[in-house]
Amino acid sequence: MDYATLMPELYVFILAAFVGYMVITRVPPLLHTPLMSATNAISAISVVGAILVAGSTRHPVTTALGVAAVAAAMSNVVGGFILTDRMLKMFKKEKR
Amino acid sequence: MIETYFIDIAYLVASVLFILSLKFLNSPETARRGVLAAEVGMAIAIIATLWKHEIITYDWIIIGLIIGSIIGVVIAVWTPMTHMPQRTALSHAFGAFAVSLVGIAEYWKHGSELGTIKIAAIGFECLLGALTFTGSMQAFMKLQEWMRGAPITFKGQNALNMGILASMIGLLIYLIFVPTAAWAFYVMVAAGFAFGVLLVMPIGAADMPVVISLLNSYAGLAGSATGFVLSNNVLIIAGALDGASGVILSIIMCRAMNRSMTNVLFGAFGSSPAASAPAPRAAVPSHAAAQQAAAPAGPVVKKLSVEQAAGLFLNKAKSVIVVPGYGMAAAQAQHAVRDLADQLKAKGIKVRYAIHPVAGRMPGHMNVLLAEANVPYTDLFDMEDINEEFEETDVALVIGANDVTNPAAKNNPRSPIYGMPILNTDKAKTVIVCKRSMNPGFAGIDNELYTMEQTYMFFGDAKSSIGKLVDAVKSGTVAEITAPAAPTGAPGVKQLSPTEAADVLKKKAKRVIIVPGYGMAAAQAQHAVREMGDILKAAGIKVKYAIHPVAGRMPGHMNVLLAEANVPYTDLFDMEDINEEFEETDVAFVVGANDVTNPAAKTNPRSPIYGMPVLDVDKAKIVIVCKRSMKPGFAGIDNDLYLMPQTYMYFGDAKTSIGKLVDMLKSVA
Repeated sequence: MDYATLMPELYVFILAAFVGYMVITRVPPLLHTPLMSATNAISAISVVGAILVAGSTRHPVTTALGVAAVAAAMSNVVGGFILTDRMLKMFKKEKR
Repeated sequence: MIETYFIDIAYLVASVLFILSLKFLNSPETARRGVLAAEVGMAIAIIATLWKHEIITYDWIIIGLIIGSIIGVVIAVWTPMTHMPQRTALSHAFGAFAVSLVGIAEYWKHGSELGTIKIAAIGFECLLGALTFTGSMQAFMKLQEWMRGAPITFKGQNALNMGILASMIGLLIYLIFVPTAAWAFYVMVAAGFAFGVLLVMPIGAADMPVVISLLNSYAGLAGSATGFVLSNNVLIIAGALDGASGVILSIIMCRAMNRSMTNVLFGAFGSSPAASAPAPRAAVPSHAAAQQAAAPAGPVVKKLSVEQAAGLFLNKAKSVIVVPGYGMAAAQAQHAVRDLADQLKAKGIKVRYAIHPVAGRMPGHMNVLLAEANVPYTDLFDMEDINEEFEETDVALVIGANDVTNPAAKNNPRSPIYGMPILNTDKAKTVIVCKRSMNPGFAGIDNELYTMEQTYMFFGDAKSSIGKLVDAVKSGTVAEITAPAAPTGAPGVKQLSPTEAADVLKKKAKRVIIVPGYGMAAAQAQHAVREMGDILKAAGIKVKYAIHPVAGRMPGHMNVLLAEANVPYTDLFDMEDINEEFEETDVAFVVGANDVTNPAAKTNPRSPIYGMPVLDVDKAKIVIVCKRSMKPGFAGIDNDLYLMPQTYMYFGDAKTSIGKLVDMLKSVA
């Protein structure tokens, strides 16, 4: 990576942070726990990086680190989404 | 090469889906769609990655994916809702662990050939990942009660933390210049792991909402750094979203506790609750003093039996507000609480829930528990939305909540929690506190609420005692309380009827200053105010208007409104021009203005608004305050003016009550 790729990436980061700020400030306090659970599951996208580490070499050290990372991140992906949905399912309106 | 394009497009689609997912979370109606969007995005991104040509072997990837999925399913299915804070802390730890392993592997593979920018990114990734991992693990253990929740402090702690922080930064800078210095890299990562432990160690369980939110944002930023290392935009975006969410939530939590981030992180709150606060200056009768004066001979704790508690609900209550706290979560009492609410609702009693932002151990903790027990979310109200309603509520039922209901936060400047926004539970006509004992909460201070006149203690484990209460309510077994609850009515408050107000204005006033505030704008009362002014003027009384620079919502707001109502601008005076005239004024008539009239800004150095310029309304001979209730203004603090001897409250909506006053004045004239 050099300067030419860094700048566009910084733009992406800053703009995403602003989008995040604007979208998330509108989440009602009612849903703050599901919000945290969902953003955590989303940031477990780092499983992508873990997959690349685990699968791109045949060296035992990187493979071991990679597999552990894949498992840790994937547990967040799966667990995070199931739990978020489990929580949201419980939020109901009053039945009249 | 063609697959590269497909992979890039897949990542783009995933990014868009992630943002949409958060947007759907804006409302409970659409929130589940949000989870679906994020799931689809995640699936697309993972499948696209598996397609990448760098990948030469799938065996280990698949093993990792399977192990992770099993762990995820197990945690997701078997985590009880009461354990959400723990599981959230644990998931931050897992996420950060994954990120730091990826960073270490990247350095191990390419250590010698890394450029300046990349080594910096890997450094950030590993540092944030490492400290988030150990910090979250510790938060998890504190929440799971595998270790003591109390803050752990020792001498020189802050110095040690600062030293480690400085050495981490120093090593990172060194690495940027000498990327091949492997020792520096590994020492830095180790320091990161140690720093995470030290960071969370002095933070008590009660401050976990802030810590969890903060670790959430670190985990996100670490993920973003991974994106920079791998030049992968979807990682950068997802990490930035997570980071932003964590930052916002930590700010909301800090504000809700009236604490700064530094204070939470380094203050070791609760370890020394009796922190020597200098004696407050008592220049004006404070609410605390008034409250103490009103308290009868010493604090008395009144206990309730199950039947008496049932009697309070069935005989006296038309409306009930339930205030849940960590005690409800600990006793798993949410289902019993829902049962009770159902019984009461069936008897025509209105039941709502007041949720303090930091009730429980993480943002939204109570909401999730009650939702689990099938309480409709339309019954759950945030503090701001329900705080005014306590006054008109017959029974406030506090279940295992403590500090967030302590009126000391409003009226005792010496209290460590002074200034923290709390639920106005003390304003309810009757308060029932369900709690195991009189023991103080996390802040380690006694709750003044428990000894107030209208408060009854209903001792016991929340689950079993609420369960018994449900049975008693069902069967209608009630018992009277021998000493009935006395009517509340805030001490020292003198109320006026329209006739009395008209009388004061007619008989005692030669000079009147009207002080408008946002309440006038909100009630659109400017025409009524002008009419009142005209009548007074016709009776030979001098009428002026005092305009505070920040009265209303924008500069000059009051001026525009009064001009609209045909008040001549020559009657409108800026604060500097009129402040000295209050002393010679017979009646200051405040219409919906609050903080800008609070003498605490001048006299109480402990007040959050201390130093703010205010109108000298308290100098007038008589003050009439037209306002809907005693509730505090934006600064969230009580107005000392309202309890002063010369002050009379004229409660009601500004437009209708001034309208009535105008009619009275007309009929007298």
